[in-house]
Amino acid sequence: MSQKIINPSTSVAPAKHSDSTGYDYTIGPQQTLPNAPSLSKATTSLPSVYNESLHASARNPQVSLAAYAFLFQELVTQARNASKSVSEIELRLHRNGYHLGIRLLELLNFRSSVSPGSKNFFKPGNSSQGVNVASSAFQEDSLAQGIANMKRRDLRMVEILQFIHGTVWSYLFGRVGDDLVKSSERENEFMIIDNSPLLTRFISSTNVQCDFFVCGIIEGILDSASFPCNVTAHSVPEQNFDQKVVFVVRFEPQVLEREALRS
Amino acid sequence: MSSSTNNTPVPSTSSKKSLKVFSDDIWKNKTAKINAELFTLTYGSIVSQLCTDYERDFAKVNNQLYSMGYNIGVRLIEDFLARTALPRCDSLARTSEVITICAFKVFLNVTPQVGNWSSNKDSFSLFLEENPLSEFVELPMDAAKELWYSNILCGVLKGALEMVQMDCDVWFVNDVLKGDQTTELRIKLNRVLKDEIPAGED
Amino acid sequence: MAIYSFWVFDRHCNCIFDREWTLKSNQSSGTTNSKLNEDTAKLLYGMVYSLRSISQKLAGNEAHNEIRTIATGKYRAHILCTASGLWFILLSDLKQEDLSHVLRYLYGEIYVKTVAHNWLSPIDFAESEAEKRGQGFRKIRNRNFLLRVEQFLGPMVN
Repeated sequence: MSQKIINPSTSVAPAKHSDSTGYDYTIGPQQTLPNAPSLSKATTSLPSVYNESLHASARNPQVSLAAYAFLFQELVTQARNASKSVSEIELRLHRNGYHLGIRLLELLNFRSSVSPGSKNFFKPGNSSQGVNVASSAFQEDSLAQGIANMKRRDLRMVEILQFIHGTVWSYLFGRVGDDLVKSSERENEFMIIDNSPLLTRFISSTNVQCDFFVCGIIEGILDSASFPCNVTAHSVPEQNFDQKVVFVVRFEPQVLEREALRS
Repeated sequence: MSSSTNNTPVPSTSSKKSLKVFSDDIWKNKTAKINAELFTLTYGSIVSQLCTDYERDFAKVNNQLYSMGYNIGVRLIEDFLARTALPRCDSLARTSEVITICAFKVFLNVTPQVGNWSSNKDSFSLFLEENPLSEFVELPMDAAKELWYSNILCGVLKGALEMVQMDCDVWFVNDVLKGDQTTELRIKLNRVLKDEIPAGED
Repeated sequence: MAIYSFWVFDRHCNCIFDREWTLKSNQSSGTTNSKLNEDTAKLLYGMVYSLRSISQKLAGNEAHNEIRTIATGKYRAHILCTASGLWFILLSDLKQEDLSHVLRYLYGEIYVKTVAHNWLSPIDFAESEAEKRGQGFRKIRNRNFLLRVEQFLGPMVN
C-alpha cells in the first residue's frame, strides 16, 4: 500500500516559477499555457481544431436531445450485442464514458480559466480587437493571453467532487447535480445524486444500468486528476423521481492517506 | 365526413422560406437540447470502439455504422413527423428541402446545402459545411483511406426515407476528414414504394 | 366528454393496439384480444381505408386530402394518419367535434416517447411477410405505453 501513496507537495513555492512550464512534482500542477513557441508551431497547421475547441464561449453548439437519445440507445445496443452478460454490457458502457471523462478534466478546467473578455479573439476573421489577428499562430497566443490566472486543479476529494457535481454536470446535462453527499459509514465514499438523469430518460429497462456510461465519465475525470476510485450507479426510485440515480464514488485508500498528509 | 386540404399547422405553401421559418421555430421553441460536444464525443467513442472491435477493418466499421443509422432512422422518422406534422413530399426537390432545412435543423441544428442534381432529377447531394458528428475529429493515418467517419448519417437517411415509402441509396462521396474540399453525401431515389393494402383487397 | 375506444393501425394494415372502454367486462384490463375487438378493428380499418381513398380521389390533383373525422348517428371517429403510415383512431360521442389535439398528443408524447424512442420495444410489429397486409396479430405490449394511454385517456372516458 505504502508504495502506492501519491506524495503531496511538501514545500509550497507559489508562482515563483512563472517562467518554467511543465509538471514540477514539488509544486504540483501549475500554469501551462499553449503559448510556447514550439507548441504554436505545431498547431498552425490545424488552427481551428485547437483554438475553437478550447474556447467555451466562442461557440455554444447544441443538438436536439432526441438526436442524442437515439445515438445513446444505439450505443447501448452495440454494447448489448457485443456482450454475453449484463455486467459485460455495463463494463463496455463504462469504458465508453471513461473515454469522455479523461478528455473533460483538462478541457473544462482550461475553459473556466479563460476570462470572458477574451472571447472575441476566436471569432474567425474578427480583426476589430485592436490586435491584428494575422495568422493562426497569433490567435494561439491570444488564447493564452486571455487567461490571467489559470485555475488550479482541485487537490481535495470534496473539491474535485464539487467540480464534477457542478461544472461537469452543467456542461454535460445543463444543470448541476441534485446533491453531493458524504457517506456516514465509510470515509472514502461519496454520493452524487441525480433525480432525473438526462441520458436515460427514454430508457424504460431496469435490467441494464445505462447509467454506467456516466459512471465511466466520472471515473475518467477522477482518474486523470489522480484520484483513483471506483464509481457505481444505483437506481433509487422515489415517488416524484422514479428514475433517480445515486452515483457512488469509492476512492482508493491511498487517496485518503494523501488527504491526511495534506491536512 | 369532413376533411381538409391543409390539416396541420404546416406552412401552407411549399416555399422554402416558410419551411425555414417553421423549422427554426421548432428548433428554437419546441426542442429539448443538449450540449453538442457531448454528442460529438459520444459518437467518437462509438466509432473508436467499433474500430477496436473490428480490428481496424474499416469496411466493416462503415457497414456497422450504416446499420446502426438505419435502426435509428426507422424510429427517428416518427419523432420527426410527430414534431413537424409534415405530409409526404410531392417531389424529390421538396424532399431535399425538408431533409436539409427541416430535419437536419431540428435534430442537429445545421442546414446542409443541396446541389449536384442529376440530369433526370432522381439524385442529389447534401453538402455538410458543419457536421456535429465529426467536429474536432482528425482521422488516424490508417483510417483516412477507408473509413467514412459519419456513415451513420447515411443509414439514418436510408431508414427514415424508407418509412415514408422512398426507397433510396445513400452514401458518402467526399469527406473533409479525408482531405477532400467538401463533405458530400449523395441520395438517389430508386423508387417510391406502394402502401400496403390488406390481403385480398387487390 | 366521452371517449369510447382507441385504436392504432400500423403500416402493415394491422391493428397494433386497441382499447375499448365501453365494454363492461374489459374495464380493468389494459388491452383486450377478444374476437369481437378483432372484428371491430377490421371493420373500422375498412371504413377508414375506403373513405380515405375516396377523399383523396375527390381532391383530384391536390394531394394530402387526409380524412379527419367521420360522424355517424351514434358516434364520431377521429383519425390521424401519419406520413409513415400509422393510423391513430379515437371513437367518441357526437359532442366531440375535434380531438385532433388529443390524437397528436397520443402520437407525439406517448407513442414516440414510449415506442419509437424505446429500443426494447419493436418498431415494426410484423415479424415476417406472413404477418403483413392485415394478417398480423402482435400488439404494443410496452408497459409505459399502456400506462400512459390509460392515464391520459382514462379521465376522458366519461
